[in-house]
Amino acid sequence: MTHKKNRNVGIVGIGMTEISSHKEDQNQPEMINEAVRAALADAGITRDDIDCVVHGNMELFEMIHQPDLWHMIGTGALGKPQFRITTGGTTGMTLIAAADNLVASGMYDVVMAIGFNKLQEAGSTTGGITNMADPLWYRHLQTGALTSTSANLSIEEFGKARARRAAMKHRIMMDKHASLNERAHRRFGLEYDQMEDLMKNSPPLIGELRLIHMCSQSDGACVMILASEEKAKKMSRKPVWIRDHIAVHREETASNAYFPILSETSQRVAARRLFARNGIDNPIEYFDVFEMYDPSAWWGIEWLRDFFLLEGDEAIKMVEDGDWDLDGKVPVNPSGGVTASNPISATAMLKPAEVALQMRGDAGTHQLKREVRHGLASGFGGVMWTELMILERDLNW
Amino acid sequence: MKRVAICAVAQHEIKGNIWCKRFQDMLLDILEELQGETGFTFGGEKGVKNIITCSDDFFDARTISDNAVNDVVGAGNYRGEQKMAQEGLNAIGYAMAVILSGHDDVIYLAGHCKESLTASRNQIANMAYDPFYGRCLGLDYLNTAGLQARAYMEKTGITQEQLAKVVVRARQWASRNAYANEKTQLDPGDVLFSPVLCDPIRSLHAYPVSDGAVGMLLASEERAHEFTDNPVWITGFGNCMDDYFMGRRDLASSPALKKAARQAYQMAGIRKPPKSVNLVEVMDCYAHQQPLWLEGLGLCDEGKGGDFIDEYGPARYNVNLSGGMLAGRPLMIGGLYGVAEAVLQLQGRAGEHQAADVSCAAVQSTTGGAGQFQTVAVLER
Amino acid sequence: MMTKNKQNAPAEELISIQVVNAIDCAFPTGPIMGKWFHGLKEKKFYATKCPSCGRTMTPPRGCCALCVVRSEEFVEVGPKGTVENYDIAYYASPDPLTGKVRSTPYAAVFVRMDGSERDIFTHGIRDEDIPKLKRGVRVRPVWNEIRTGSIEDMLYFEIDA
Repeated sequence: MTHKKNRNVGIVGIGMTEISSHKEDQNQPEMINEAVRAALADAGITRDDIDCVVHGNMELFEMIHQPDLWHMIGTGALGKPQFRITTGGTTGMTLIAAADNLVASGMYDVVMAIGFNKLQEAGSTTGGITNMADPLWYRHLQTGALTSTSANLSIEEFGKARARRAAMKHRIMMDKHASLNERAHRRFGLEYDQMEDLMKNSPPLIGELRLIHMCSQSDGACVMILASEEKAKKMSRKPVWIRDHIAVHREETASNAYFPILSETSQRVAARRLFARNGIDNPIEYFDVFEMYDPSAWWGIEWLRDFFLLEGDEAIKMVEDGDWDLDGKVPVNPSGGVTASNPISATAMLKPAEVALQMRGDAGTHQLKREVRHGLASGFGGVMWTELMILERDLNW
Repeated sequence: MKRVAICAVAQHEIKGNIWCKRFQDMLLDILEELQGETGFTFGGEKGVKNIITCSDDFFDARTISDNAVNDVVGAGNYRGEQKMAQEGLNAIGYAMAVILSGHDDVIYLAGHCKESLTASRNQIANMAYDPFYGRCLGLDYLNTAGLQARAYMEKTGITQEQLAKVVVRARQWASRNAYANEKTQLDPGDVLFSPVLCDPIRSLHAYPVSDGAVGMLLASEERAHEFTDNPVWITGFGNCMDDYFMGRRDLASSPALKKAARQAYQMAGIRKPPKSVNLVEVMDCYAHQQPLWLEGLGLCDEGKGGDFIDEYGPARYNVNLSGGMLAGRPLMIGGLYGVAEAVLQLQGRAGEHQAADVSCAAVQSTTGGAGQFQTVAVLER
Repeated sequence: MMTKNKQNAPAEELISIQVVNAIDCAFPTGPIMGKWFHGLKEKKFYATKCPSCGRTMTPPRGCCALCVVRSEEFVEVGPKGTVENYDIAYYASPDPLTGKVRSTPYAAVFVRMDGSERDIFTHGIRDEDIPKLKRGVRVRPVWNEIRTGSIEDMLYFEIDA
């Protein structure tokens, strides 16, 4: 049964800065302003047409309290309604979900969502993430966002060789995708014949998690403009429609989220609920593209199984058979994914942005050859939280 | 447009330092009270599926501060949660949008803030300023309020005696509110001669450091009756961002508040606020802000704050019968406590400080130095 | 839609301000964690039990996240447990407070404490035991000689041979 939305919402503008490390020639509002202008230009509108701004980031990363107050000089929020919503790593997608809710409600017709990250301001991601832990006890022990626990389980399930090869194959595939994407931050030019070498020589970070598997630390801003159906159709030749979205959280105690204490991952629960309420019985058949928030190659292959409600070794077999590749059954991360670009508070917004670009045919050098009508985007953050969003090229559901 | 109801509210008693509880413990108390009153549940067909929280990473000294409360707001078991990282009144507007969008038909909203957790709330506020200029100057919400107070006094001629009346009245009403923080009764002389905090703001002009938490249950018009016989409707909402640079703003007036109020009144169909509004909760962190925000809400003539006080304007509009911000509320949920008060008044459940014939309440909140960001909501029976 | 950094102005020296921001905080433990820390001082692990699902939680939480109910009944658990999983760190990030970098490898273990099997408790493991780490191995706590009622009252786990 389809979700009953008050009115439809379309993505009409997308703007991004270059995603790179250490943007030292800009301050925060300047960087945001670049993406804002790009989004407005893409939508063919001006600041005057924006009814409401939605802003979000993990403020301890940039070390500014209530940063929207200073950033207004770059966001264009002067004299306008504005909301600030944050949800850890899923923030980027939450901002789109929030903008979608705000437009769908009828309270605002055109909403601009602003995600950004300037990691160099706070030293390191891991430092920022460590502050997420309970200060009474966990903060003294935590190793930041890094863990190999799921890799340990994958190895137990599929055997060392098979699991390690699948994770590395996925990593190389992500880099190959990134290499076609001029906007990606890190592009190493990896080849599949480097697999053995990387598996042996990439410096291990934690357990099975090696440096090469891990996402980058990036700076950058991403801005998207959403409009009501009526306005979207007037403003844009090709609005991309937001069909539905869901957020699934876990309990605070991080360690519980890593294991089958609760029987399922948030990824699987999100997929099951979202697909069920939208009448999608066969996600592999249905979706033309999946932009997945994959903080590491290990989680990438593990979550593919959950997101597509697969069992056993079905997902890993698809990795081995190249079914997640650009010309495969369901292309995953044509952008290169999070291992290529990770401006954390904005990362989860890059996912629907990429899907929208693919649907519009505007992805440039890494445009998928197949027709992209049905898209899926995921966000990750907090304590193994998941956000999942369905986008559609046409209003036909 | 369909309507969204606030079905019930629960307030945690506000104190200067609730050292014996973590904010998680406070929110659990709130949750139990609300569930007891409304019978709402989590999950399943009819339960709450999405929660909106309100907190601040700096005040909590915790990245992703909403993670810390996920368990106790019902989000920890495969449910959704979004954090409002602004003053809590904005969560009301956002929750309203979530329900009107059709995404949810019931929302649990919970905000918390413990100003006592960090050594200096002014130090936190200083971090709101840009690292190259504002922060180095030492700007924070206190001294920017001081600049504003000076500008306001110059413009309106409001006197120290009139400001003292505001504070004395706040304490009088606070003594009748079980949840209020600072109930010590004052003479005007106490205020007039209290030590200067940041000229012209005296220590008794400033809101006391406070800890608190508030929860509420919001529902669509179709479902409100499942939780209460006495729903309060959110009929209007608006918020507005003013300029960051103090030098470009007219501190003695508040164009952002006027715009936010206009949006809220328009949505509520209110053409003449002084005729329709009969209860007000303003976020008066500093005494001069009470008349200043009332001007912005269109209930006091521009520049006439002083006279308004002498003519018992605040009494006429039932302003801050809770004691308001001046009696002590934590910064991030000052407006949310205002909503709680307004709801109780509209439901006729404000007990010792109940006003007569309350039908339309305006609640205002602010974030940032000298009220840079303003939010207004209109609530009606 | 995509912008490039503009470098039209003649090259200038970029000014950056290096500053360490520090705000003093005082975190209350609340009654639940307070009791837990008292227990650690006495070399005991206390957990709270959920009246609805019955699971015990270590460290104790006042609210069971699964059932969303107040859970204030205390039970003693452990002190031994079973390693559910572990993380061996070969790369250490600098401590955000001190800037110090731990020597590697070091490891964290995720333990099902005896009597608290539906919950995971995390702590470190003695460096010498890292090579012997396996899922399912039994561990016991190693206590600090000086205990003040903090997480440091327990130094780490060691393998319970």
